[in-house]
Formats: sequence, C-alpha cells, structure tokens
Amino acid sequence: MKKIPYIIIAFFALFLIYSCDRVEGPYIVLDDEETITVDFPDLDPASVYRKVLIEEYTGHRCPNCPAGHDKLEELITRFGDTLIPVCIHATSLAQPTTEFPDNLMSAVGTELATDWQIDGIPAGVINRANEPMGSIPARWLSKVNAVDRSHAPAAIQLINQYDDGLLKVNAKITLLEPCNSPLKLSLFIVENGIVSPQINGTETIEDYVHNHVLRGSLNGTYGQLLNGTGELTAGESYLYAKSFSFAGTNWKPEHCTVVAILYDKNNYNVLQVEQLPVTNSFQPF
Amino acid sequence: MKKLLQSVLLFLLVAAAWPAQAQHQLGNSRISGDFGFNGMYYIPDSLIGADAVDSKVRANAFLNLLYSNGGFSAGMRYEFYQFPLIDFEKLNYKGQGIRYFFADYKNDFIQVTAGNFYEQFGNGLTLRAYEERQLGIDNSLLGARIKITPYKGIYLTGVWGIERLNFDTYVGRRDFVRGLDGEINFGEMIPKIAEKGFVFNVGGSFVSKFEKADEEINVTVFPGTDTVRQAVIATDKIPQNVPVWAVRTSFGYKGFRFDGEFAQKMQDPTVTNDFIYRKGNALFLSATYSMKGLGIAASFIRADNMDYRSQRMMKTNSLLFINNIPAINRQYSYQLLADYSFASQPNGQIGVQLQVNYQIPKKSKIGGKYGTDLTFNFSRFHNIDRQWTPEAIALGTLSGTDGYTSNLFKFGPDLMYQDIGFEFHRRLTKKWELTLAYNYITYNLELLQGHEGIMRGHLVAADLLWKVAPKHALRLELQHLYTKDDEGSSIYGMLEYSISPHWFFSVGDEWNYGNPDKAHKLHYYNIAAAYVWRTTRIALNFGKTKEGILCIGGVCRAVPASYGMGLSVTTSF
Repeated sequence: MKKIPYIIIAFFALFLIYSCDRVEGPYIVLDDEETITVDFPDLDPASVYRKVLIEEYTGHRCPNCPAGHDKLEELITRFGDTLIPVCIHATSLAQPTTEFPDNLMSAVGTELATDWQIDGIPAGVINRANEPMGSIPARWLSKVNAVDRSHAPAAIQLINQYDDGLLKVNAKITLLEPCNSPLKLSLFIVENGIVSPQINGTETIEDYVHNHVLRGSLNGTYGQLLNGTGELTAGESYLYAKSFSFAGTNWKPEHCTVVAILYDKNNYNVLQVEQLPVTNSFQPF
Repeated sequence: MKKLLQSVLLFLLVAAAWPAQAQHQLGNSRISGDFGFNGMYYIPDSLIGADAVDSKVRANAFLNLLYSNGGFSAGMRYEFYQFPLIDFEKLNYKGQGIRYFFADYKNDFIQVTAGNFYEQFGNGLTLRAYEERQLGIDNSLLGARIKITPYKGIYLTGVWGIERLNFDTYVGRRDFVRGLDGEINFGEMIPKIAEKGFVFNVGGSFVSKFEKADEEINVTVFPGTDTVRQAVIATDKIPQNVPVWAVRTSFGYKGFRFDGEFAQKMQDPTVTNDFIYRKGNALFLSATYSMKGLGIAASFIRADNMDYRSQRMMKTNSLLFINNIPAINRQYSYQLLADYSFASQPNGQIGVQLQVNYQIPKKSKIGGKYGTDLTFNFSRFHNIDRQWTPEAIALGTLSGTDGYTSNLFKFGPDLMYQDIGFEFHRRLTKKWELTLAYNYITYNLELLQGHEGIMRGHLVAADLLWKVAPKHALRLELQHLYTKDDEGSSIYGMLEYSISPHWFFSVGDEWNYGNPDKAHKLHYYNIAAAYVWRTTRIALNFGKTKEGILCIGGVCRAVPASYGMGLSVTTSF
C-alpha cells in the first residue's frame, strides 16, 4: 500500500522528463520584400476622424440581399468616406450553382461568417461589435450612429505601390489614445463592379453589379499583431508592409481597393478603418 | 450554478450568524475562518489626480472558511470584488465568486490536496504559488498536490494544476503547470548532526509549464539603417513545454548559516523577454553569522531571463508568475520611500546586500541602561551585462534570436538601485524609546518605473515612542526626504495614540514641498481611528493617497491617487 505514493511520484518524474521542448534555430522567418521604402506624410492628429466599418453578409441567391445593398449604398451616401463597406458573400445562399456560376465567396469571409454565427442574410456587423448573427438592414443606421465618432483612437495611413500585377501595401498605424489591449491589423482586398447574376425577390438580374466584394486578406483572416505583441503606446507609430500578386486571380486591380482594419484583439472592436484603391487608375462604381 | 449560489449564500448566512468567538469545535471537527471588508468613498481631486468614480463607493470583501477534522481539512474563499477599490480595478482584479476551494488529507506519511493550493519550492526560483492580498496577487494552482515523507527528513512534493488568473474561469485555458520537488534534511535524518549544531539540507526541483502554441508570433526586425521588415516565429518554433530546474543547499554550524540555489530555465520566448531563445538562469546566495550582540548577513542575487509565466503573451505586472525571484534588499516601511522601493527584476538584475546589526551592551557607558541597537545596511543592484549575439546585431533586434550572452558575475552598466543606511535604536527610559535613521537612496526611475532620470535622495527619519501611562502610548514619526530629482523633497509627520488593547488614533501629513511644479506642492493628510475587540478590528480613515507604487517583498503594483473616506472591518473566528 505504501508503494502507491512512490509510484505516483515516479509517474510525475516520468512526465516531467518529457516536459521539455527543444527548438533548433533559425527561429524566425523574414517576410519577403517587406522593406518599407516609402515616406509617409506627417500626421496631424487633429485632422484624423474615426471611420466606421460595416461588414455586410450577403449572397447572390439571397432574394432580400439587393435591398440590403440598397441600404448600404444609402448609408454610404449619407456618411461619405467615414463609412467603409465590405460585402462578404457567405452562407449557403452564396454558394455557386449552374445558374449562379461565379464564386464570390472567400475563405476569409466564410471564417468570419462562421465566427459571427451568421445564419440569415442580409446581415450587417458594424465595427465588429459583439453581435452574433449581425443585424438586419433596418438597424444598420442606428448601429452606425451608436459608434462614438467624436474622437479617433488611432490613425491609419496607407500607400499602395502597384506595378504589373504586383501590389505592395504600406501601412503606418499611429495610436492617438492609450489602449490597454493588443491590436491587430487586417488588410483586405475588396473588388467593385463585378457583373454577375443576383436574385432580387422572385426575379434574377443577370447583369447585377456587385460592389465592395471581399476577395481575400493579405495577412490572414484576423490579420497580424502590431509590433509582434500588439501593443503600442499613445503617440507611437508602427510600420507594416505586405505584398500580393494578382497573378492567378480573376480580380481586376483597377476595380480593387485595400481595406485596412485596426481592431482590438480581445473584443474584436474596430478602432479605425481606412481604404485606398490598389491602382491610380481606380474605377469607382 | 443555482446550486452553487445557494451553497455560497448558506455559507454566508452560517458565517454571519456564528457568534464571534475563536474556532468552533463540533466533536473532533473544527470550523474557523476570517472575513475582511475594505471599502472607500471616493472624492475626486484633480490636483492630486484622483479621478471621479461613478459609483462613488467601492469595496473589496472576502470570507474564508476552513473545516478540519483530524488529518482532513477543506476550505473555500468567497470573494466579492465585483465593484472593487480602484487599485484593484486597475489590476483587473474584478469579479466575484469562489475561486479558491480545496480538500486536503494528511498523515505522517502522505498529504494529498485537491482543488486550489499554494506552494513554494526552495526559494521560489522555480515555483511560488502564493497570495498577497494587498497587491491583488493570487497565483494559486487549481489541480492536485501530493506530499510524501518516506523517511524522516526526506520530503517529496508533486504538483499539477492551472494557475489562477484573477476572476477568469478556468474554462478554455490551454496552459498548465506541473512540478516536482525533493529535499533531504540531514539534521532530521541523522539526529546526531543536529545535536552537534550542524545544519545540512540539499534539495532540487523541476517545474514545467505547457501552453498550446497555435498562433504565430509576428516581430519587426531592423536589418539595416532605415530598413524595417516583418518576420514571423512559426508555431512549430514556439516551445510549448518549458521547464525550469533548480538545485539548492543550506548548511550551518552554530551561528553561521549558508543558503544557495541555482536555477536554469530552458528556451522560453515570451513577450517579456522580447521573444528570445536564450536559456535563463538565477543564482541566489546568502550567508549569515550571528553571536550575542552581533549579526551579519550578506546576500547575492543574479537573475537573467527568469520571468516565468503560464502564458507567453502575458506581461501585466504580477499576473501568472509561476516563480518568484526574491528581493534581497532591506525592506522599509517609511512613507517617503514607498515610491522608491526596489522591485525585483527577474529578466535582469545582479546585486548584493549586506547588513550588520550590533547591540551596544546594556548598562555600558555608550549603550545606556537598556542597550543600544545599531544597524548598517548596504545594497546595490545593477542590470546585467548583455552582449548581443551576431544574429541579433544583424537583425537589429533580440526577438527571434538567442538574444545575448552574459558574463555570470559581471555587473551591467546601469545602476538600478542603491541604499546605504544607518539606524540607531535606543530605549531612553522606562517610558521613552527613540529610533533614528538615515538612508541615501539611488533609484533608477527609467529602468524601474519607465520615466526618465535617476532619483538620489537623503532620508532622515525619527520615531519616538512615549508610554504615557499603562496601556496608553503616544508615537511620533517624522521623516524628511531631501532630493532635487523626480518630484523633489517631501516631509512627513504622523502622531499616533493608542489605548491598548481597544483603541488606536492617528493623524498624519505628507507635504511634497519641494515639487518643481508649484501647483503640485501638495499635502497628503490622513486621519484614522480603529477599534479592536477580540479578533475583530474596525477602522475608519479619511485622507489623500499619493499616486505611486506599493511593494511587498520586491513585488510591486501601481497605486492610483485617491481621496476619500475608508472603512475596513476584519474578523476571524
């Protein structure tokens, strides 16, 4: 009987012997071509205003989604460049079929829809507030108005360098107010002017123009931590660059914009969002 | 959940209805516990930086209950910190519930514990799970512990658990700690050794933490002038199992004693060490000698990359520490030195401490009728020597490399803290006692508090006690800190009157008269009264608290400025 404790301790010892990982170097891998060579203009914090992100979950086989798109355009007209839209084609109603052959879905969008428990569409998530399933279009205005835009917690400056199918996004994040949570930055590509069928009520509009369609992310669904840790002090800036090749995609660079989303890693709330066309010859729709 | 709440309420009702007398016996069973309430009414004061508090009144409250019967004991602590004192809110120590409960059985051979427990291996270089209520620290482990004494003088301990993180539930946690400690006390094993006045112990411990690595770490590197690049530490390059081991010994003969412990931590890239892969190590040495009227104590400590926590991305002060690097410097309770207490630096410190106590004998010419105590103290701490590795130099960062090399006994270039102090204590007559002290403190504000500069200050303190009448005593404390640095010179005075064993009154004021900013030459006054009845103490105080730091045993936390009235009630039964 008295042997039992020794056996237990022996087990402990055995477990502990194997409780050690040894990692061989090199430990880090440098991202390719991410040297920042551009100069960002000086930032005047007084001129920075807070922009709001609206992520609209939608699908080409969703009968009510065109009404959602209309609502979104109405809000963009109302709020101008302070409202930045991203249309995420997700759920079963976004799946391609023979009638709707184009795939406007993305892996990033599917992951976001799963995480936000998006079930019915159209649904909107404003500034990634903790709102499972999103909200219906009729509530988007009040949700946008609920965002405190009296001050800007951070500024995002973007410079895109584009040459022959190669895009390099340069971002400078400046924290204007103290933030205790780690921060992450996501860089999304959205495309405008995609002509593809869409159900509207009971009819199908063959030449429907889809705008703000999320195509993908340059740095993963949830982006990357600033500074490796996500922590910046007020007044501090962080430079970040990411490259992307349009080769192998059917996306039209001149129709695309980069959307940069700065958010709180702990609660996903968006602190600031910014967008910039990929090319100088951007064609808005 | 409902049942749990009902049980808590039942416990609280039982505790409230229990008559106030110490420890209750029911046959062989015994129930004991203690209760604490610490509340404050906050008044905003923009001059000292005391912010308005929406709810105006805040409080911390807890109740400990302990049941024991022979070798069996069980206990729990209910804490209500849902709307805590602002100090604790800033630490995120906020919530309510039972986060501490355990059942324990022990006999001469074995002790087993399930639930929460506190434990320390050796000097704590590998494991120290402890509670320091004033600092808002509770690093208890939730899990299981086994202690065995297979033979007289041989002790084995095994622990396995998840470390407490404020009021977070343990659900979904992907980190845990396991460890083993052994110690042989030769004095207990072979009584003749102890009988001859020898002390000889050896011990060793091994602790390992596991944390799932499922998110890569992004770092910024600076490979050339004006060049910034991003880099990634992939998940398969992040060690998930990180061990630390230590060996220790102590031996002594009569008045002499020596203690030593050496610990080494394996690769542990974390946010607090800039994600370096260098092994950490710590060395603690202490020697003391005492004889009648004389005591000498000397210590040495070096810690290099020894911040060891359950989660690699945790950097908040004091949270999730598995180990503890002890502070060896002399600890003071002087009000004016509170902001300049040395906080132990587990990732880089090397220092020495020497203290000599001498008692001038009683009834001698110099020593006087009652004798005189003299104390000399010297401590000095530097950062450690660090030579960046060629890879770190090439990348312009320590992150993602082996970091640096360091000479074990070489002091780093920056002085962090130095204290040279003298103390004189003498009982003047049957009714009067006097303590005089002088300290010269050098405190590196940049390395220890993150703001620029070095504080060099002279502290002179006097403590005079007058036993007015039997049970009545009056105590006067005066301090003066002279410095041209930081917030300038301050003076402090406090008068305390006690009528033992029930009443206690005090009035005190700290005046920062030397603050370079005229608007901040402020007074921080405090008036307090307390009543003690058996094991219950009720205290009221009114006044201002200066923004600063509070350190206990080298572990510190920030104290926000506050103004208002406080009420504290503690009792044990």
